[in-house]
Amino acid sequence: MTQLSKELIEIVGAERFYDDPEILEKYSKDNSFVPPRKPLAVVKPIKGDQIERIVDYANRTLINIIPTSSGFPKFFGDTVPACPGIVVDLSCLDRILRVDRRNKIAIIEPGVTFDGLRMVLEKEGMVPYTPLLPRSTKSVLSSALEREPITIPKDHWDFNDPIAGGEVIIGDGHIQGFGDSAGHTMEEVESGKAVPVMPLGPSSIGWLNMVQGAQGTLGIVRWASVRCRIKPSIEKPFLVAAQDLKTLVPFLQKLLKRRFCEELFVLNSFGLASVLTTEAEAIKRLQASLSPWVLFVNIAGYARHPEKEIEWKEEEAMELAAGEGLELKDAIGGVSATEVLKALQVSAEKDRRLRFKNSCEVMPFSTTIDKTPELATSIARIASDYGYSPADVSIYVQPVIQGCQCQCEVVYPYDPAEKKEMEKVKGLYMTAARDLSYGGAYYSRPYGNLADITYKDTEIINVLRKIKRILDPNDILNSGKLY
Amino acid sequence: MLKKLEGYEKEMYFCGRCNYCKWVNAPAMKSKRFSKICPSIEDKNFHAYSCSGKIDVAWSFLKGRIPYTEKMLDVVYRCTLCGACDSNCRVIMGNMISNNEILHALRVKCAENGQAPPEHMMLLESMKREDNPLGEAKAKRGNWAEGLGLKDATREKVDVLFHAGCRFSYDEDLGDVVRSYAMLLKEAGVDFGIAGKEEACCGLRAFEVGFKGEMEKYAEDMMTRLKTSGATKLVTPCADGYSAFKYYYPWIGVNLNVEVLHVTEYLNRLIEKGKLHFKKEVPMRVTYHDPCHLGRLGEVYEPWNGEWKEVLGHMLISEPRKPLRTGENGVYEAPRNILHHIPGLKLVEMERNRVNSWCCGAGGGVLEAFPDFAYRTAMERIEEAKATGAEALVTSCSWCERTFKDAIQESGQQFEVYDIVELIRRAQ
Amino acid sequence: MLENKDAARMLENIVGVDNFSEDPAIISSYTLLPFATRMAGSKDMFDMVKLSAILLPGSAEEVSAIVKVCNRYKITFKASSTLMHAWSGSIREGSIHIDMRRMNRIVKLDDKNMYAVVEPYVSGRELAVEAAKKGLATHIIGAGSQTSVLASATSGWGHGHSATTTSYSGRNYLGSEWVLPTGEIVRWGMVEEGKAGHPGPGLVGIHRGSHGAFGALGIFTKAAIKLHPWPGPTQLEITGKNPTPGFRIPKNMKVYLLAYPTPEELGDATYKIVDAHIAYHIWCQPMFFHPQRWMGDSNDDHYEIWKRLQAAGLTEKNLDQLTVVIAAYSEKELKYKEKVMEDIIRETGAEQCLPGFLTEQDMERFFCAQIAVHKPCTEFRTGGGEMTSSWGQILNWDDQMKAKKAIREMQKKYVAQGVLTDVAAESCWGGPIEQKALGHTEFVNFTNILDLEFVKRQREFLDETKEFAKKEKLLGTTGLYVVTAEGDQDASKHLGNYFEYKKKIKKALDPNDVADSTLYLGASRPWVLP
Repeated sequence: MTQLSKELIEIVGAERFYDDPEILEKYSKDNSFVPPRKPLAVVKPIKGDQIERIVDYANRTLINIIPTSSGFPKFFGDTVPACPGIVVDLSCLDRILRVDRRNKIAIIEPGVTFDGLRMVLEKEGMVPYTPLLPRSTKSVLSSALEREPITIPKDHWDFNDPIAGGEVIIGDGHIQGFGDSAGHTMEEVESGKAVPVMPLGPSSIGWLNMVQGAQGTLGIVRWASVRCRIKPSIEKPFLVAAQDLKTLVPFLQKLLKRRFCEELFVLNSFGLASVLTTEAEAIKRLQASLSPWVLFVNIAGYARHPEKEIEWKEEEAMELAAGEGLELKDAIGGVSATEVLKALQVSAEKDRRLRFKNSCEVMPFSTTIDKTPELATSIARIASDYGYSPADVSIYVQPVIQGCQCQCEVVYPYDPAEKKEMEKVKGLYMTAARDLSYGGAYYSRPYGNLADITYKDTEIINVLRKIKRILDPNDILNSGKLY
Repeated sequence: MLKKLEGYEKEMYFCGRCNYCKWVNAPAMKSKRFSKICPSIEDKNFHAYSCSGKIDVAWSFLKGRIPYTEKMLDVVYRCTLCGACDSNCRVIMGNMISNNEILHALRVKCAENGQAPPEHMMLLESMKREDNPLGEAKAKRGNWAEGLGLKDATREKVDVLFHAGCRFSYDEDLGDVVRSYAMLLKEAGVDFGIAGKEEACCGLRAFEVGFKGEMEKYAEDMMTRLKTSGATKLVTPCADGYSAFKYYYPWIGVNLNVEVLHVTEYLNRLIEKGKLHFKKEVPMRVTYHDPCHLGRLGEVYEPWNGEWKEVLGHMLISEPRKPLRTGENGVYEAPRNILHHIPGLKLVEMERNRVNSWCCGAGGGVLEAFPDFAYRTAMERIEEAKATGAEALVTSCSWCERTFKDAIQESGQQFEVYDIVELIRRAQ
Repeated sequence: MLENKDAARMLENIVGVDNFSEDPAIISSYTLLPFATRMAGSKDMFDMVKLSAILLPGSAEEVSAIVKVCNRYKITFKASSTLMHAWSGSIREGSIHIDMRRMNRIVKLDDKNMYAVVEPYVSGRELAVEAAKKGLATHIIGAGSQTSVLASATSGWGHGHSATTTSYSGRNYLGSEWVLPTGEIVRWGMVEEGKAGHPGPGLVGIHRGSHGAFGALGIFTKAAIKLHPWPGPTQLEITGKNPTPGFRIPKNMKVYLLAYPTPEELGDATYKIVDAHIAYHIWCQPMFFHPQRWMGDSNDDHYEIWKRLQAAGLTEKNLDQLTVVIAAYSEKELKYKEKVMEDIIRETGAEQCLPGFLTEQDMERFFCAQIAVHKPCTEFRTGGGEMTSSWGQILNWDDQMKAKKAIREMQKKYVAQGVLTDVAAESCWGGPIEQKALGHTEFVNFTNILDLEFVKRQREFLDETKEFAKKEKLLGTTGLYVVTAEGDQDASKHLGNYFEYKKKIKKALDPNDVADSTLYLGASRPWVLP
C-alpha cells in the first residue's frame, strides 16, 4: 500500500478508495477530445468533513485533486486530470438536507441529482430549476456551478442562479460560506435556523462568482442552497415553427421582455428530436416532420386564479406572436407541445447528446440573442465545409439573465469507432470555435481548447491567475486546467 | 437683509452633497442630453463650481483654510447666479439652505476685500458714473422713446411707471422691442409714463457682482421716482429689473409699495380684458426660453430672521417658519398665454422649461467677465431650442436676447431669436 | 500640491491643464467629507484632508496613465463618480482625487438585449429616462437617482425601491472596463461586443461581492448594466409643482399603501405577494418617511404633519407599512393582478395606510417619489445634512421582520435618552429583491450634524444593533457594519474570516498600495470618536 492510498483510506475508508485499473480507466477520459489521463486514485467521500481532510492532505503533499459530482457520461474534459492526481468523486454526498417551502430553497449536497431533488420537492409542492433534459446522473450542484443554463429565463436573474448560498472549501483549505450562508454551522443550516438565500459576498468578495465556472480549480462546494419554484397548477405549452432562427428572434425578445413565460428556448429540429426520442432512426424521422427551428414556450397559472392567469398570458403571447407573423401551436409535425413539456420534467437515462451516435463533441458558448441567426448560419456552413451534415448538428439556444444573453450549445455527434469521423469532428470543432468567436460567440465555459480562445485576452487571464494564486496557492485543485 | 457670509455658516453645514444642484429635478428630466442645470460646473467640471462646491469653498475660506487665489475667484465669479441650484435644493433640503444668499454673501465678501474681477470694477465704475452697467451716457437713456409721445413720469402723475431697463434703453438692436412695448401700452390706453433720462439702473448687476451698496442706492432712487410719479404699478420689460424689484429689493429690506409686473403680465391682463387683439396669423413654430430673472428669480422674497429648533430629538425646524422659495411662482404662464393667443403660432417646449430652465449665460457678471463662458452657455440653450424643431427662440428678457443673438452670430449658425413683442406686432 | 513636481507635470500633461488642479479652493470641495473624515478618526467633522490635486480624466487610457504615474511615484489615488454625500472620498493625506465627471456617456443602450454600457458619471435618472424611451427601466439605488449607476454596480451596495423588478446593483452587473491599481486595463463581460458572460471563473468575484471595493481595487471606466422591463409611458406626466411634484399614475399601474399591525403580518403578506409574482415595486418604509419625503416640502411641514398623524393615532398604529405598485401591459393582466392583490389584502388583514390623509395628489407625489427616486436625500434634511444608517443586511424576509421588531424595541431607550429622533417606531426601509422573499433593510437615523456628542452616542445604538446581529447570527452579508475597518474585521470573524482574503486580494492587485483602501481595509488612522 502506498502512502497515498494509506492516507486517503484513513480519510474515506477502504470501501471508498479506488485504484482498480478499470475504474481509473473510466475516470481517465470522457466524450471530449481532452487528452485522457488516468488518475492515481479515485475517492468517494460521504461526509463533508472528509472533503476538508482531503484538501488538507493535498496541500500537505501538493498532490492534484480533481473534484467531480456528476456521474457518467461526461462531455467537457473538465474532470479529466490534466496532471497526475486524485479524482474526488462527490456523488455519494447525496443528501437533501432541508427543503424550505416558504423561502423556496433546498439545501443539497453535491451528489444530489435532479430526479432525487424533484421527488423530494414534489412533497412540498415545488419543482427544481433544471437545465434542458439533464441526464439522470447529473449533479444539481455541479450543473449550477458549471453555469449550465436553466430553461426558465425569467427566473434567471444573474449567473449565480439558481444557487442561493452554500459553502466552499477553497484550495488552501479555508472554508467559506457564500453570501448569507457564511458563519452558520451545518446544524443551523439543516435545522432552518439559517436560511441561505443571498449568494453574494459576504463583504466585497464574490466567492460564488469566482468558484462558478472555475471547473473545480478554485474550490470544492460541499453543500449549496438552490432555489426552487412553486409547482404550477396549470401549464400550457406551445410550439412555434420557423424556417430560420432569424424569424424567431424578435418574438423571443418580446416574450423575454415581458417576463411571463416559464420554459422558453429554441432548438433546431435535430436538437428537439434528440430530446424526444432516444434512437437514431427515430430522431431522423421526427426531425423530418419538424420545421428547421422550433421555439418552445410554456405559460403557467399558479395558486391564485390559475385559469385567469393563463388566460391573460395566453392572450398576450398570441398577440405578440401574431405581431411577428408567427403562431403559437399545440403541435408541430409529429410533436405536441405537451409531449415536449413532459419530456422536460424528468431526467434522461440516456443523455440526449448521445442518442444519435455514441459520442459527441459539445460546444457551449454565450452570446446575445440577436447574434444567434448568423452564428447558426456559420455553424451550418463550417459543418458543410468539413463534409459534416448540418442536419446532424444540434443547436440549442437558451436565453439567460432574463434575455440579456443566451447560452448556446452545439453538439456534433460522431461514432468513436470511426476514426475518420472523429478526426473530422475534431477539426470541425476547433474551426467552428475559432470562427464563431469572431462572430460574437464567447466561451464563458472555456473547456479544453476553448480556453485558448477565451484567454487570448492576457489581462483577463492575469487577473484569473492572481485569483488562483490567492485561493489555491499550492495549485492542488484540478491543476493544469484553465490557467 | 443679506447677512454677512459668517451668518450662513450653520446653513453651510446642512449641505449633504446630494448633488441636486447640478441636475434638472429628476421628475422633470426628459433626456440625458438635457439633464444638467448648472452652467458653471458644466463648463469647468470641478465640484467647486457647483453650488455645493461653492458652499465648501465659502466655508473653507471662512475658516481660514484656503486663501484667495485666482482659481478661487474663478469659482466664485464664474457663475450666472441663475438660481437653479437654489430651486433644486428646495426639492431635497426644503428651506434649510439659502443657496442664493450664500453665493451672494460670498461675492460681497470678495468685493469687500477688493477681489472683484477688473471687468466688474469697470461695471461698477460705469454705474457710478452713468447709472447703468453698459458704459453708456446717462443723458442718452431716454432716446429710445423719441417721437413716441410718451408721458414724462418725472413731471406727470401716472398709474403705471414703465421702467425700460438699461439694456433696452441703450441697445439699438433691441430698440424696436422696447418701443413696441411702449406703443402697445399706449394703444391700449394705459395711463403710463417713463422716466426717460432720469431712469436709472435697478442696481441688480452691481449687487450680483458683490457691490450691494450700489443696489441699495438704486433702490432708494427707484422709490423716489415711484413716489414722484404717483404710480400704483411698476411695469418693466426688463427681466433683471423685475427680479430686482420683486426679489432682491425685499431681500435688502426695500419695499416699493407698488404692484410690480413684468410687461408680459400686464399684456396678459390686457388680453383678458379684451384690450389687446391679434388679427393676423403668424405661422411659425417657436420655443419659449424662461429667463432666470423672470422665472426662478422672479418669485417674491420673504425675509426670515429666525432660528433652528430641535424637535422629536434631532429634527430641525425653523422658528418662525422660514419661507420656502421654490422658484415655481415666477412669471412662466403669462408669456406662454400671450403666445397661445397668437393665431397660427405653435409653441413647443424645450425639455428644460419653467423652473428648470437653462440659463442664457448673461447674468451674475458673467457676460462681462467671462464672455466665452456666456457664449458656451447660450449655445447650449440654442442647441436645446433647435432640438425642439422650432424655427425660432422667443423670450422676454433683453439680456437673454442679446446674449443669444451674439452667440448665434459668433457661431455662424442660423437661428432666429425674438422678443415676444415682435411676434405680437406681427399678429396685429 | 504634489510634492513631486515631475509627477505633477506628468499628471497635468495626461489630462490637460484645464482638468488638473492643485488649487486649494478646488481641492477644498473634495475634502469636506464629514462621514469619511470621521472614519479616519478626525475629531473635527469638517477636517480637511490634505489632498494634493484633483484630476478630471476623459478616458480609460488617461485613467490608466494616471494610475501608472501614481505607481511610479507612490501617490495614493481615489476615484469618484457622483460622490454623493462624499462618503467614499479620499482620506489619505497627500493623495490625489480622480473625479470621473467627464466620463459621462451612455456608450450603448441595447433595447433588444436589454442592457446598457455606461461611463461613471451617468446618473440613475439619466439612464432611466433614456431607457424608458425603449420600454425599459434601470435599477436605481435607495440613495437617489442622482447617483452613479456604475459606481453602485461595480463598487457600492445596491438596493433600491424597485428591487422586486430591477434586482440589486451587484446582480445587474454584466461587465466592466476596469483599470487595475497597477494601470492595466481589463475588459470583461458585455462592456465589449462578443463577450457575453464570465471568462470561466467570474473575475468580478475578486472585486465585488454583496458590495464592492469602494475604489480600493482600481477604477472602473465603463460598466455593462442589465435593464429591466418598464411598462409605463416613455414619459410620465408631471402633476403639481416643485419641490414635491407628482406623477400621474398611469392607467396600467396601481399603488397600494398598506399597513399591518405587526412586522410578522407584514412579512407574511410580503411572502404571499412575491409568491404571486404580481408586484412591480414592493417597498417597506417607516411612517416617518411619508411626511419627510412626499407629504411635506420641509421639516416644518414634516413636523406639522407628524403632529397631525400623532393626533390621529397613526404613529402608534400604522408602524408596519408596505407599499406595492402593480403594473401591467394589458387590461386583463392588470385586472388579474388587482384581483390577486385584493385577495392578499383580505387574507392578510391589511389596512389602508394613512387613512384620511391621502388625496389623489398625495398618491401622485408618492408615486413620483417611488419612480423618480429623487427624495431619499431628504433624510439629510431632517437633521441638517447628515444621517446614519445601520443594519443594511440582505437576508430572508422573516429574519428582516425579526430584526425590525427587535430594533424597534432597542430604539426606544435611545429615543427616551434623546439620542435618536423619535420616529414612533424604527425607521426601517427596504424591500424584497427579485420577486423573492429575500430583501434588504436599513434602519436610518437622523443626526444633528452640529452635535458631535450626539454622533458618539448614536454609535452605541449602532453597536447594539451589531451585537444583536452577531448574537442572532443575522450578520448576513455584512451589511453596513463594514464601513469601518474595525467593523469589517469584526464581522469577518463571524463570517469566515474573509478579511484575510481581502488583504491578499489587495496585495495581489495593488502591490504598491496606491489605491485608497479606506473603505476596504480601513483608514490610515483608527476610528476614534471624540
